[in-house]
Order: sequence, then structure tokens, then C-alpha cells
Amino acid sequence: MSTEIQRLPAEELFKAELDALIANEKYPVPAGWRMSPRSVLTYLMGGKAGKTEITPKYIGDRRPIEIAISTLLTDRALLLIGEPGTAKSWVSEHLTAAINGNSSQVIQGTAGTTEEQIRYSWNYAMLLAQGPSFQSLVKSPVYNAMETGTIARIEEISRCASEVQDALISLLSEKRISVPELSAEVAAKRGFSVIATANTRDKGVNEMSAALKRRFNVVILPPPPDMETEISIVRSRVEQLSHGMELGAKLPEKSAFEKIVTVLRELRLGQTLDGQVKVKQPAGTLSTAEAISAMINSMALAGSFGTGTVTDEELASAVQGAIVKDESRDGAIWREYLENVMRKKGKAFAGLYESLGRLNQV
Amino acid sequence: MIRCFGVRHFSPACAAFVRDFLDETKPNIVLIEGPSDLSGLIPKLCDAQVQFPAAILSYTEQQPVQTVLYPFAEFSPELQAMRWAQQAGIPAAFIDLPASALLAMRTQPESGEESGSDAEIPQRESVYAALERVTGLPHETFWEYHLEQVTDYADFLAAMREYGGSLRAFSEIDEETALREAFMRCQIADATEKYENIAVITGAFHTAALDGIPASDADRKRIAKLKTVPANSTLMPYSYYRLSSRAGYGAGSTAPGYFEILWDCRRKNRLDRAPAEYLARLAAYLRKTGGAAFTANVIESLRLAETVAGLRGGNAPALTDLHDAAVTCMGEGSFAGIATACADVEIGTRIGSLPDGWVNTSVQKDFLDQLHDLKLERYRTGAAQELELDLRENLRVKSEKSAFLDLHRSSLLHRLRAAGVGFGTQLEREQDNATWAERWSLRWTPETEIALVEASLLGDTVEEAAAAALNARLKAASDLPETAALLPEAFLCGLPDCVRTAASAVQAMAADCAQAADAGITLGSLSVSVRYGSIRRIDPAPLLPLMEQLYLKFSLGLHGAAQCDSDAADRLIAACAAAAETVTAHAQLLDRRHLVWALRTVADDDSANPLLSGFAAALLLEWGELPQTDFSALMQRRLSYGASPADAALWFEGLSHRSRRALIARLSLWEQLCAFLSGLEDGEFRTALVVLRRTFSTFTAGEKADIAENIGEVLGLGATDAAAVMLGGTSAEAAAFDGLDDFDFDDI
Repeated sequence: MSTEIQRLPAEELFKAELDALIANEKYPVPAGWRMSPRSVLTYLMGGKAGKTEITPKYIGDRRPIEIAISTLLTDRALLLIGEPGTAKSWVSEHLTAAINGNSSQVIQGTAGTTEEQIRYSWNYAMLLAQGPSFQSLVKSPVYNAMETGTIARIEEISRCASEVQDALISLLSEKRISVPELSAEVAAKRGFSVIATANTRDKGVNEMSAALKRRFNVVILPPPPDMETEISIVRSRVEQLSHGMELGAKLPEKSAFEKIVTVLRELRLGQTLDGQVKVKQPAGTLSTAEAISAMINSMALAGSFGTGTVTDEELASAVQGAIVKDESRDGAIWREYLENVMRKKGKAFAGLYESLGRLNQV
Repeated sequence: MIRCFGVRHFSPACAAFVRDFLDETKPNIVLIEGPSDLSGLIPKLCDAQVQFPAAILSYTEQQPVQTVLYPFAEFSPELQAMRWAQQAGIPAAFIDLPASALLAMRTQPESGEESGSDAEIPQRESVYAALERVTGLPHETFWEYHLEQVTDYADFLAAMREYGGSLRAFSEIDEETALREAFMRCQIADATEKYENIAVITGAFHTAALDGIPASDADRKRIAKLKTVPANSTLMPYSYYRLSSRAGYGAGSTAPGYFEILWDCRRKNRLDRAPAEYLARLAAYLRKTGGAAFTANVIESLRLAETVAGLRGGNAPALTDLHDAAVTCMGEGSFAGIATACADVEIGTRIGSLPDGWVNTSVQKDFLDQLHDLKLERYRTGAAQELELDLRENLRVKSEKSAFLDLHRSSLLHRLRAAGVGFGTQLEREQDNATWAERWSLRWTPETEIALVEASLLGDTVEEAAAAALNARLKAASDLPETAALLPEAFLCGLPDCVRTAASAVQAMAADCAQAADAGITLGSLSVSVRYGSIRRIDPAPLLPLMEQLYLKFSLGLHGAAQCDSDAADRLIAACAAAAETVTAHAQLLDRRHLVWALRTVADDDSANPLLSGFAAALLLEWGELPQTDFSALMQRRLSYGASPADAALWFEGLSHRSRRALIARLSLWEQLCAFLSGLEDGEFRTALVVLRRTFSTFTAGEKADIAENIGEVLGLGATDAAAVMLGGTSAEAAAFDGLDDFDFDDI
């Protein structure tokens, strides 16, 4: 049955690992958690549980994850901040999967998110027929999490309107939701917490009110520090994503990942990897997420219109699409990069350069 | 009976337990890891007047100077052991290699592959890296969880034995370590002849090699071969900042400020309060510096730190946990916000001090003698005081010494500055050009004392130290301006030898690399030095050939460099002005014709940068080297229809850089400018107008009025009418100027 679902939740996908961790638990388990904080850390960073190999979910420094897990043990909620592609949502999903075995209590923060979506709303047909009652109440994920003592996730919290953000303040400090229509109040069970994520490139975290920020411990997930880490992140993510999508193409070779990551890193950092040539930076974001989507795109192209093997042709169209988002501004920068930097990179990049040259001849 | 106690340098736990250990063993003598030839300094270190941190510095008498440093803080176990011995009335002695022998090994690096200190560092790192791999914790954190936080004496002894053993198991013993341990064994063996109960305090790493192992004949033989070099030693005040910057060398501590908190809390038997103390100080610093630090955040930081520590297997938070928790809760996730607060609390600003006269280096003595000689002693205080100096000879006094008192004072202050001793800060003078006067602000700080001790490594007197420092900077300088900048400094320091060295360095640099602009600007600074050298009573002769060379180089190179963008043109204009001033000041030495020729070429060259070209023409005009007819022709060409209006206006701007009076008086110039402007089409006119407006904006109202009169003449208006137009302007004009607001400057 699972083959029909495009993307399984983390707790289904890694069920075997989670079960192994629970079975091999050696440390005390906090109230409302399924496993000890140490096991959660092992689940995210990789390791062993009994005989089962645990794959690393987060590639990078272990410190931010330790802080994140510890935060969930304290009174405060957790706010994960980072550039696109630093695995904020990914970490948040896996944390809840490991701690509660349920990563689906999510609110997607948008400009249109309303206060009702954070607290509760009504099933109006029932409300009209029966009047206010617990049956006609539609609980929000946060409400559910409070009732069950689990963790709710809020994605892109900084995109929510400020009054919606303010609604969260009372929930997080009082740890209870009052339903005045039923003169009832629901207190959070132990284990309740919130993991929010926010994007540094998006509407600023700075615009969040100090009162709300004080309810959160902020953990910044850093962009991948070096080439090798970034390549392994892109590789593992592409591998996982392509399974679900049936792209009809083989996973590209390591050299393809190296090329894409090199190009994106150089443009992002504003200089070549050896630090010798300055490069103009395009306006758009060039995060690890762009590298991942470029690879997926090239695989889709190869699978649907090509031979099923990713060649420089497909890489060229995908990477150009990822970088040149606004032709009038980025176009010139991109062409300058091609001529000044990529052309001089030698054999490894010759194929990609030629394909890009053909693409830009028009 | 010999009892060994292994410690870690700068560990509050060790410092506390070493006293328990000594109380328990009741020795007749305490032997401590430290330079055995400097045991005489122990009573001084225990003196109540000494404020820690302080250090023992040993250095070779011969150049190049090699040094070894033994720093101590209040929480150094070695210091506590010394104090205990003093209080118990028993002797204490150092038993490690003599400093003179260690320095000899540093001076002759043939025994190891490199010098001793360098070989030691990578080896140390690998030990800690290996421990990190095994424990899964950074070494510092591991140390804190399992040793620093222990409060029971017996537990600590057991843990320390384990720790010392593993340190040893993970590392290879190099030549130097083996020698040191052999030496210490011999020293202990010697002590057993006189004393019955002996306590040995060394690094935990060494205990395994000392405890219960008697000195062998091989040890004795090895020791007999030890070489020494003549060396001096002194006590010096030290600072936490310096301790932390030496952390990598094993003789320092990454976070002395934090360790002091641990030490204080431990002495009050409230070690459990240290994390709160750390966070509270962090918050206090943040508030003091205007940052936000809510008490709620401090509480939350503490909770988080405790949880993280638990997650990593510690009982109480270590510094890394506290640090990360503070970043998360107080810094909103980013370290930048609390970085200075962390530095203040973790490293701390404490500076040690010693009783007067204890620091005993030749530079220190020379410095104090000179202060006395130059009547500057009253400036040796913590409060900043100002000092005005008049460098000219005082003709009313008899002796030469007092006639040039201020000059000598100035030389001393400049020399101190060059040697890196921050005693005086030179203040700006309101009246520039008065090179005979200087204003200083003098302030004596403990840092000054430390810097003075360090200056003693450069030479035996302030003068030698300054010269050595300047020479080192000369060697490191990589381009002409950097090298040339050191020349005036050598002049100010009154160091003729240094002036010569610097001059030859500038000469060598100028010979192969100099760009025209660098050459011109350097020329200007040389000229200043030469002209005012007499005030400092230094013979400028060595600079004269250099000036000739640079002058020629500039004259020949100017035209080649003239085709450039406007940034480079600005530099070249400054260089031209400097060269022109130099050539006027040194008319006998430098032949003006070279520069005139160079300027003429640039002025005539239409492809040269118009700004520069205009400036060259102005200079020539000023000197009377550009005949009126030639100038008219030049101007006609520059302002002709063929030239781009922007270039023409830029040329005019260059021209106006020099004496404006001369320009304003030249009626023909305004005629031609008028003709040029009235011949332009609308679009061209707008371009030219923008540049010209910029040019004229620097003219004074009076100058503008004069120009208006001239133009009035040209256009056949009366002088008064023109001035009225000039002052009033018209509304149409104002509107037109508003229209220029969205002018596209890209082309200019």
C-alpha cells in the first residue's frame, strides 16, 4: 500500500530504526516521550541501536541537535532558524517522529493562517444543529498536542500575521487553551511542546515580537560548512526524494554532484573555492535546497526525455534554472561566471560548460 | 617516603585538592614541576603583595632571543603548593629542567627535527584528539565533567590517576619529555638524601614516570650531557587575556575568567553555584553594555545547560554547555550578539601586578632611568595626563641636555611606541605644519609594564628595542608605501641607523616595483622628513640620493600611468602635487625640467585621463611653463566639438584643482569655455553641466562672483548685471536643475 503514497511520514519510513531504538532503550525516558533524549540524538545523528544500524538524518555539527533536543525537555518551545536547505523542517519532522512517533501535527504558517487554525474552530453544521459542544469542536494540531502531551509543529512561523503569532504567546506561557463557549479549559499534559521553523531569507525573524521570541529557544542550523558535507547532504536527500518520485533515472554519479555543488557554493560565497577569483553574486537564494532541486530536476529531465542517465545536458538546464531566476539581473552575472570561471576550470567542467554554451546561444 | 600528586595546570580542582593532599601527607619538602634554576623566585611568588596572574620569564642573553614563560594564576595548583609550603614553614623547590637548559635546547635545534616548542604542540594535540575520539567529548568538557566538578578528595585522586594514565597511554614520549622526566627523577633522588617525607607536584602526565621509579644511571648520564646557555629571568605581571591567547601552548588556559569563577565558588564550598554565577555575569555584562538580558532568559539558560549536560553524560554543565545555552537563550541563537560578553566573562580582564622594582629587566631599568633624566616620572600614573613638547632648542638654558629636553622626551615616546609599549599616545595638533611641536597623552597601565618586559626581548635599552622592532617591520613590509611609511617613523624615533636601513629598503623596493603614484607620494613623505630632519638633529644625507631616484622614476613613469580611471587619477594627482612641492623645496637637488617635461606630455596627451591632464596643465600654468598660445591651443582642442562633453568638463575640473585666482584672471579661458558651452546640443549640454556644476561647487561665493563678472564681460553684459543673474538665478533654471535629479551618471 505504501508504494501509492508519494511521501511517507518519517515515522513510517524509518519505523524499523525507531522500533530498534525503543527496544534497546538504556536511559530514562521523559514523561510523554517514546525514547530517551540520547536515543533521539542517535536517531538524528546516526549510530547503532542493538544490531540495527541507524542512518544519520542530519549531517553536520551535533551541537545544534543536542541543544534542540534539550530545549524540548525544558519549558520552552523550540525555534529552528536557517537558510533554505539547512534541513529545518526535516529536523523538526524527525524530532517529532522520534519523540512522539507522530510527525503529522503540523500547521503551515502563511500570511493567511488564522487564529482558529492555532486554537480551535467549529464544525458549523454541527454547531447549528446541536449548539456548542465538544463534538462540534474542531481541534487544531496545537490543541491535540496539548491534550495528548505531544509536540506540535509550526512551519514558517515568521510568515504568520502578528496577531496569529500573539495567539501563540498565551498558549506557550499558560500551557492551556480555554474554550469560553463551553466554559472549559484544556491544560497541556506533560510532554507538550512546539517546534517552529523560520527562514532567514524570508520575512525576518526580527519582526517577531520580543514576547514571542522569549517563549522560544532559538537554534540556528548553519549552512553546510564545507564542500564534502554539502555534497553528502545533497546526495542523501536526492536519494531519499527520488525513491518517492519514480523519476525513471539513475542516481547521477558523484562527479555530477560535485559540479553542481561547486557552482552553487562559488556563487553563494562570491568567490571561487580556491579563493582566487571574485565572483558576482546573483540576487536569489542559492542554498543547499537549490542544489537538491537542481539534481532532482536533472533526473526528471533525463528520465522523461533523455536516456535515463543524467548527462551534462540535463545538468546544464537544471542548474541554469536554479540560478537564473530573474533574467534581467541574474542573466549577466551567470554568463560572466560561465566565461570567467567555469570555462577555465578545465576538463571536469568542459562538458557542462559546452552544454550551457549551447543553452545560452539563442 | 615519596608521594606524587598529578595536577593539571590552571585547574581550580587541582589547586584545591593539592592543599588537601599536602595536609594529608605532611611532607618535609615540596617539589614542584618548574625550572630548577629558578627556585629562588618561589618566596617572591608567595609574597602577599603579588597580584596574580604573574609569570616567570626566562630569556637568552644572546640574539636571537629565545624565551620560556611559566605563567601562574591564583588557581594554579603549583602556586597553592608553594603557598602551603611557605605557610607550613618547609622548603619548596622546582625540579624540572633548568630554564637555561631548556633555552639551550631551543637555541640549538639539532637534537629534534625542529625546535622543541614546535615539536611539542602537534604531539599534544594528538593526545587530546585521541581522548576525544574515545570519550566522544571535547577534551575540555570531558575534564570538567569527570575531574573539575569532583568535590570529594578520594574520588578526585582516583579519577586523576586514571586520567594521567590514559594521557600517557595515548601519547608517545618525545626526546624532550624523556629528558625532563629523567631530570626530575634525579632531583627527587637527590632530595631523598636530605628529607624523609617528600611531596612531588607535577603534571598528571608525568606522575607515571616519577612515582616509585628511582633515578637510574642512564638518567644521570643523560643529565650530565645537558648544555646550558647564559640566560636572564624575571618575574613579570601577566594578564588573563595573555593566558587565554597562549592556550594552545599548554602553558595557558582558554577561559581564565571562567576558571576563576570555579575557583571562587569552590573555595566557598558552593561549586554548584558556578553555572549560575557565570550566566548571571554574562547577563550583567549584557545589560551594562546596553543589551537585553531578561532574568527569565538567565533561568532558562541554566535549565537548558543542565539538560544538555545530562544528555552528554555530565552531572553539571561544563563551560561548553553554558556557552551554548547562553547563545540559544540570550543570543537568540547567534553567537555574535553575546560574543563580547562571553569574552569578558570567560577570559576576563584581570591583570596582575608586582611590587615596585621587582620586574628586573635592563629595558625596565633603562626606561626608569630615562624617565628620571627627562623629568617624566610624575607621568607614571594610572590617570592620563597631557604633555606639550616644543622640539626646538631652548636657547635660555646652558647645558645641551636641557636645551633639547623636549626633543629627547619626544624621541623616547616615539621609541616606546615603536617598541610596542603603549605609554604615550600622540594627540592631533590643532595647528598642523608645526613640526616643532607635539602633544602627547601619557598613561601608565599594568599592560605597559608587561609590554616593557616583552620589549626586553628585543634589546637591552629602549633605543635598541625600538630599532629592533622597526627593523623587523621593515623586513616584513612588502610594498613601497608600507616601507616608506617606516622612514618618517625612524626619523621620529631619532634612530639614524634605522633611517639608513629604511632608506636602503625603500631604495631596493623602488628600484624594481614602484608605480608612479607610489613613487610620487613616497617622494612627498621623504621631502617632509628631510626638511624637518634638522629639528630632530638627524642628518638627512642618506635620503637625498633616494629622493633623486624616486623623482626621476616618477617623472619617467607619469605618462605611462596617465591612462587610468578616475580613482587612480586621484592618487596620481596627489602624487603630482607632492612631487611639485618637493621639487620646489629642493630646487638645488632636483631638476625641475624633468617634471615639466613629464607634465607637458600628460597635458598634451588626449588619451590621458582628462582630470589628470587638466591638473598637469594647471601646474605648468602656475609655474609659467606653458606659454599663453600653447595653452589657448590646448584649451581649444580640449573644449572642441570633437571631445566628449563629459571629458571636457572633467578636464576643466582638473584644471581648477590648482590656483583658481590664476584661472579666474585669465579672460581668454572664459571666452573659450563660453564658446564651448554655447556650441553644445541640449543632451551634451546636460552632461557637461552636471560635471561643471560639481567643479564650481567647490568655489567660494566670491570666486563665483568674479567668474560671473568675467563671463559677463565675455557675453557683453555689464559686470553688475552678471552678478545679479549669478546671485538670483531664475525659476526656469531652478526647474531645469530639478530635472537633473534623475540624471544618469553612468557615463561619467
